[in-house]
Amino acid sequence: MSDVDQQAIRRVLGGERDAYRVLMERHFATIYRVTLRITGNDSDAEEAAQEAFLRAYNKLPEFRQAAGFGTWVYRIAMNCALNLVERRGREASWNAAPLVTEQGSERFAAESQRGPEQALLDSESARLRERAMQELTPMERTAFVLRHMEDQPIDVIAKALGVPANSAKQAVFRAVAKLRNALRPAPAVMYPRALQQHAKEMR
Amino acid sequence: MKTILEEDLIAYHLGELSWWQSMQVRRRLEHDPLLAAESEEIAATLRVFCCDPAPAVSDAMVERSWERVRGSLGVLEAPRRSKRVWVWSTVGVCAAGVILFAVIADVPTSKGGGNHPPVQTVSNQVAAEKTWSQRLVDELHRHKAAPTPYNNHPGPLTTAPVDAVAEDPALATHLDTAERVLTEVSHAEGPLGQDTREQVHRLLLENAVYHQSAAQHGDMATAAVIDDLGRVLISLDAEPTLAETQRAHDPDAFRLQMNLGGVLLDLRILHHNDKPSVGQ
Repeated sequence: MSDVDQQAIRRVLGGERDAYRVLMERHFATIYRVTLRITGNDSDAEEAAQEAFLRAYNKLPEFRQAAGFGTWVYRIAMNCALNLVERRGREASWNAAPLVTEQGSERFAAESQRGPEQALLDSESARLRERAMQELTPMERTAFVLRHMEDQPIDVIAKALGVPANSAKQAVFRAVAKLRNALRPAPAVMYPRALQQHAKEMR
Repeated sequence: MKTILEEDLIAYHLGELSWWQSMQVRRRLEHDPLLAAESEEIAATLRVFCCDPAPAVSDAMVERSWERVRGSLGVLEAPRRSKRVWVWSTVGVCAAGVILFAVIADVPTSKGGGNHPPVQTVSNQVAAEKTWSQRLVDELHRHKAAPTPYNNHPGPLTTAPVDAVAEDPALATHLDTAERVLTEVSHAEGPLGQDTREQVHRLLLENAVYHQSAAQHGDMATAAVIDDLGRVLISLDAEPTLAETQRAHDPDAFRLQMNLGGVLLDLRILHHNDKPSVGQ
């Protein structure tokens, strides 16, 4: 753990709660990234990230500092994001904004510095990916995101999600199988250019 | 190797197989085009999801999140666990030191060597209290001694002076006579002689009086012996004249012989107990 984190934790435990801002500024991007990938939309990702930091603050007196603060809050964030996704699934009235919106695709597209046509293709591709991800259960999605996108080992995922390691592994396998079926190239008339893009990616 | 399933291929691409299993899958993929095509499709699926760019996090988002979180933050205190652990460890070390000191100090004393005074440990205090309480109980027993049961009633087996015998010489004479007569009877063979029968009958009549006298004195041990003596005397007084051969097989005669022996013993004890008191 870095000295900056240690010093900030000492100050927070000494009663200086504004010192927690240092920790949030240093680790918020990482936490937001994982919560966004798990929840699939900006607003829930931000909410889950905030909840993770709040939980970490309240558990800070129990934090043994054997691992880094970033790793610790990251594991808390996994659990918070999964809980939020499951909670949203139970709320019938919930209609979250999808991850790939016009603004979102513009944001990603701006980073790639591509032309308008390519940006549109990317947007369509992202929309298909998100649609495929929505086929997954919250547990499958979370396990897949953590294993494949975040490159977390199975035992860490299992511990964060509170399930046996074998269950976490099976959730990842089921997720990949479902995504493969969802993204398998098929004749369609809806998004021919997007499918061409996918077929190119698949090749 | 067993048939390779989709799950095995997914595990292969996610790096969840062991080195040996991965090598086997790789070998199968080289020789099985269909399996290789399926494997490539899985790999392509995974590639689609690995190129998501990291989302941009603006300062405004961090500021907004901080403001929301800050409103729920309480003031934390440093963990007290370490302090508690420190206190308990100090107490533990002190306790261990006291025990060690007690053991070391107790070793020479228990072996009888050295001039160290005995250490007042907890076990010693308990022993001292037990000794003190035992002394108190003994003192109470000395002042109010319970009569020792003997044949289910207070008997003569006591070191206490025989009050009734000491205060009544006639009773002492009665018991002496009874002892002598019963000794003769126990050693005699054949039916009782006429003189012996008359002595037994006279003793039986006097015995009831002395039993009452001993009971009035509160000397229950002597009263119990006189009571037993009376039963034996009744049996002897009522004994029929039988041939020696018949007596040997008569259960009542055998029982009488046993009772007679017991009463004789009691009489001799009473006599023995009475000697010091008579001397005084």
